[in-house]
Amino acid sequence: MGAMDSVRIPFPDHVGLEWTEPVSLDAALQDALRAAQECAAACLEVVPVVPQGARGPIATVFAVSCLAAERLEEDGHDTAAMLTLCVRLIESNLGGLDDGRLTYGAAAAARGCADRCRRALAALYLCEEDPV
Amino acid sequence: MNDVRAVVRNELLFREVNERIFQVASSETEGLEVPCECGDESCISSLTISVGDYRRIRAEASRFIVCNEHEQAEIERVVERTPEYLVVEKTGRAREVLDDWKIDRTAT
Repeated sequence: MGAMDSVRIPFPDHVGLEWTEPVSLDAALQDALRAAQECAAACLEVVPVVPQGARGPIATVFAVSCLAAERLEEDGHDTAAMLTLCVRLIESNLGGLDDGRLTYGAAAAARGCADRCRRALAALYLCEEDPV
Repeated sequence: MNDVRAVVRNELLFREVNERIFQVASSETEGLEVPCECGDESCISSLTISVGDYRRIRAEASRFIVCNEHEQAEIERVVERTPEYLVVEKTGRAREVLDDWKIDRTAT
């Protein structure tokens, strides 16, 4: 076997490209508002049926999304501090929504809504920081 | 303290969150789990408080509930200590900012 036969170039089969289409501030605002409203509604449905000891995270996510929805609806600008707080609190409570006592359908829906709300609020924050 | 207004604003946001938690999750028999209301924007701590104590503390608009060691002596004084949390009261410039905020919110 010659020396050239042993040379292997570590090259991937394909190179993945990721690109997110820029959205306007208004579109991001509307998306965040809708996501926050849906999240609040989904969590509110679950809170009363969750055992008291497991209510903390779902109640917090409800409260945060409710606050975000109200603020975005009434004002919609200069919301950076509110958005960062909401994203941070939802993130820190998402793990708590995986509690074994929250396994039924409505809770799973609330988890999905919370994650979508977190992403939409973060996207709005980024959009406000660097508008298209 | 670089920006007292920013700190007070964060605390008021946390308080608004907690008011909503209180509305949907309060129980007379078990404690309420709420986020810490300190002014640190990176804080994600939570604490447990009885519904009765929460109501009592909320009756004073200048008071906030924070985790132990989350108090900021430059802007507040500790008025109550428990193993689980502290109750702090705004002082000085922070108190003025808080009062201005209340007037603004009332006016709108």
